[in-house]
Amino acid sequence: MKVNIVDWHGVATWHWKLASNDGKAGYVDELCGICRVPFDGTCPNCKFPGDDCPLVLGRGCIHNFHVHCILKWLEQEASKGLCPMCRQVFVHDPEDNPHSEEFEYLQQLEDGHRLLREKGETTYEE
Amino acid sequence: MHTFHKRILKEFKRLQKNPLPGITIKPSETDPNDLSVFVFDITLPPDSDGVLHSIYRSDIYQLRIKITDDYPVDSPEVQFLNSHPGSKIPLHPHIYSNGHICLDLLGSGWTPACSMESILLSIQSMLSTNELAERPPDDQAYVRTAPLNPKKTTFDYHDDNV
Amino acid sequence: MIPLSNEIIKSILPTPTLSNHAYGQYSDIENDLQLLLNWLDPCFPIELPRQEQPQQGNNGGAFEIPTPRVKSAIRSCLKDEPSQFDFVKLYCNSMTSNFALYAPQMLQNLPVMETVNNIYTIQEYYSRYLRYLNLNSLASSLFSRHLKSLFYKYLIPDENSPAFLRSLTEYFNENLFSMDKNTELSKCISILQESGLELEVSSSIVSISIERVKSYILRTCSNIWDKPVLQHINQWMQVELYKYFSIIIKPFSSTTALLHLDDLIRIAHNELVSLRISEIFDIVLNFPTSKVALKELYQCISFLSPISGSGVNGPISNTPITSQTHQRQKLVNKFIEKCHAKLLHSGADTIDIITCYSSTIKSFLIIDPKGVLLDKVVRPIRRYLKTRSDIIPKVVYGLLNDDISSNKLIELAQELKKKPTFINNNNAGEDLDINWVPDPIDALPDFKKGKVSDIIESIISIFDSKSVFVNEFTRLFGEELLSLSNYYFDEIVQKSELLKVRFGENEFTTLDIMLSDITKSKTINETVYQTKVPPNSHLVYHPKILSHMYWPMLDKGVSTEEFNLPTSIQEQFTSYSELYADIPFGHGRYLKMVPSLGLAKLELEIQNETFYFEVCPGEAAIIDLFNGDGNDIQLTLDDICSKTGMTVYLATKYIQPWVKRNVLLEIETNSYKPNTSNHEIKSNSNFSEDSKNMMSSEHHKFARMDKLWPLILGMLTNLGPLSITKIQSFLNITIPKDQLESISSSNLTLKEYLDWCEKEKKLQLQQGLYRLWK
Repeated sequence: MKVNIVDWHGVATWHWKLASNDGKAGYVDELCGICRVPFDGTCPNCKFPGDDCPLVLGRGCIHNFHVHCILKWLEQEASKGLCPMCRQVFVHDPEDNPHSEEFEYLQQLEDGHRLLREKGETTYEE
Repeated sequence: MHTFHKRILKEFKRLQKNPLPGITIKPSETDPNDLSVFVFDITLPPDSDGVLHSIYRSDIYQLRIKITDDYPVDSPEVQFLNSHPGSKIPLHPHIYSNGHICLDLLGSGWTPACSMESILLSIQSMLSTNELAERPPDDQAYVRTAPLNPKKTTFDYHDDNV
Repeated sequence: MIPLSNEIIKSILPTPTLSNHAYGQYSDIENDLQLLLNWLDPCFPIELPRQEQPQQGNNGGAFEIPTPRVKSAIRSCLKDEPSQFDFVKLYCNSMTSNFALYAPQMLQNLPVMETVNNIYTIQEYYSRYLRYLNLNSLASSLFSRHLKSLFYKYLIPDENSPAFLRSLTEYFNENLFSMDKNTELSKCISILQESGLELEVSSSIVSISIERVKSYILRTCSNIWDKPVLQHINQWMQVELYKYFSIIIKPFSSTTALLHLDDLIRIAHNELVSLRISEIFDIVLNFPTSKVALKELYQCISFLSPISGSGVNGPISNTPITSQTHQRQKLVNKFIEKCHAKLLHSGADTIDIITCYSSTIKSFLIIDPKGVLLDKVVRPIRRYLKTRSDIIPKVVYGLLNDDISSNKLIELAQELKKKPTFINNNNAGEDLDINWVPDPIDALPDFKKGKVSDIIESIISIFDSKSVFVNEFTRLFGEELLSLSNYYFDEIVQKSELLKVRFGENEFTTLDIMLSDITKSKTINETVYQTKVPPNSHLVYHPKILSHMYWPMLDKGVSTEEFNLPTSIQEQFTSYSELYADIPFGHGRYLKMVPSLGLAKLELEIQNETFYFEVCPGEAAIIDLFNGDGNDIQLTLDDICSKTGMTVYLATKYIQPWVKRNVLLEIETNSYKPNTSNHEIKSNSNFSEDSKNMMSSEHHKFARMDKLWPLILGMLTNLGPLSITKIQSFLNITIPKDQLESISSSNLTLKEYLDWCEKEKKLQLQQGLYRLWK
């Protein structure tokens, strides 16, 4: 007998690659620290997961967020531009993320906080 | 509905299902459809030796947490209540007689990673480590001018060791 | 005025009568009185004269015309009112004692007509005397009332067993509706009326008539639900029944006992309502055949009003005509009672209950358009349906399946396509409704008309939350999506749009995400194959890439089945994953295989013959192990488990279908090898065990193409057998290009469709020409 596979309509699932300690992907059920929804789900304002509600990986730290969630936090002056989880300065890798309005805005906020910090330090030093 | 309704609901259910020792949520004060105000009874659990060493003994205090529109990127509004009959404000160098609490976590120390649970634990530990049964030094002056909303105040953090 | 009664008379003992006055002092008055008494004697018609004939002497109770002397005696004795009253009292007493002597034999235990004649004789006897007594009206009415009371007393001596009334009713029953005894009847009725039995006579006639109407209605209307009966009833009442009445009842038409035709018709309608109430459950089951009966029931039950025409004391006020409210309540009770007995028990099929539920809604809206009765009768059904574990899948299947032959609840599918008659709009406050009208008086407190009248809405609302249905839809659609051998799901979108109207847009977020997953998968697949894969590499792997949090079947069950897919597929998946990570859609993401889900298309070559199969991945993984040019691959269950990584349970589950298809043979226990002969092989399409699934997936596959069928049918009917090129070019002419593209966008060629039609015995292919199957 000869078996010839003509067509295979398989099923797969997609998962975000997360920034984690060992750089290995695999924390499937981890939750976004801000909205407490799994990364593979959506932030509270989005309907469709995935491209519509992308993830941002922290570069300075190992924490991930729905980009819409971290934007909300960084918009607050009180955030001081820090990661909500570890309170290190939050930065993402622009190379590693798609070019979109959200990420440009994220970059702006990160830059803004950096400037405030620098200014604050100068003031303090004076 | 609150933008972060799901998160708040999760927190609420968790506190209901796995209550923290010495802390009970009062469901009667909470509208399950609204989830914007939570009231807790706080008491101090006995130490590991089974004895209660605290100056507060087994007194029960009432704490109210109001979820703000921007929660969790914004901290909630937290204070002790004395409006209910028999309820009083714990004597503590960082707790004003109007129920306002001077705690870093409730202001500049807040991040979205914090939660109602972390607030409750912080306040409980703030009580259990305290040995001074007194009000903050500026209590009278503060209470006279204090806004209703504790978040509208900027506290001087008197003594971080207490 | 004190009515004369037995009691009163008896209380005055010894009873003075006229004869007491016969022996008194001699005077003019006494003399006059004596003359009068002589003339009146014997004060009772002892002998019953057949005819009115003047007779000599006063023997035998015959009447004598008074002589002038007697007349003058009458005048002198009864000259004023007091003396008239005195006289009447005494005269009545004489009558009473005479009745006591003679009435039993004259009025009791005789045939009706004989009794009536005797009554007549007695009446006549007295009325003749009365004529000459010139009593004033009060005295004469006192007399006639006393006479009537005596008749009554002797005709109906015992109220509890009125023998006379029984025989009277019998007599009426025999003769009321025949023409031959009209005169006798009229006479009988008027005599009895005169003798104080008006009410008894009337009610006897009315009750006979009602019986008559009742039996007519039972005879002609029972189980007749598909044609109108009201008109016939009315006609019969008028033509058949009332014509007797108009003749018989004329004599007393001036009295309150007048029986109106309208009243009779009302009685008839009331009887029809009672009949329909007893039949209501079967009428509902027979909907829509029984529509006519329901409409007439509505007419009767809505306009049942108290009997007019006859006053409060009329004969019909005693008849069992029931009020509208009462009948409505009876209707509800009867239906509910039958429901419990016949439908709402574990022996009944859920589908039958749902069907009946829907007929109930439609039927009761006819009977009572306001929906109040409906609201009451559906409550027990709703309560019961809620306890049925299979109601959700049954309803969901009913809503989604358009095939009349297989869907017993096709009505739901048809209903879904209509515009909903009721949309629960919570935003519009009830207070602001301009068209607000108060609920009908007999409505239950939480009555909501719209809620009960829309069938789908009504079924949904059995459950507190719509999500039980929505979850089932989502699950079914999910399975359907994963069984697609392409990325097209127009039909699901159409259905989900209809469902969204009913269940609310927001309820379908998960389904929307699932659909978007498939759409994205299509784009990804195209991108990968068009830009990344070398053109001539033979790749067959086309995955559906799912957002794992939103697919119910990934939650539990099949997705936990882990095993190795055929090496070639495994390899293709790996390279697909790498390519995926490279394209924008896969940015920052990776893929995980769900081996157990999906669909594989296989060709098996056995003895130079090719068999075509569509199977699940598990079956494909098993059969792939037997791939080899020689036929000598033989594997034990253990081999299979270790090679595929399946558990024994899984492996057995996926081997079995191949054994049933005769593709694999179990040569000894748990040891398998391929079949070497090809004539026993059951290919997928004509394989009976799985045929349901497979056929439906085949049907599904060609559903889109089926839009072409009417056109092809038309072509072949009008033009005769055609080649495929001809058919194609005709289609190109007749269908707008974009439509044709959307129809054939499912990767299927017209050839495949026509071949399928041939297999389905719709077409025949002869010498390259397609013709209609004969």
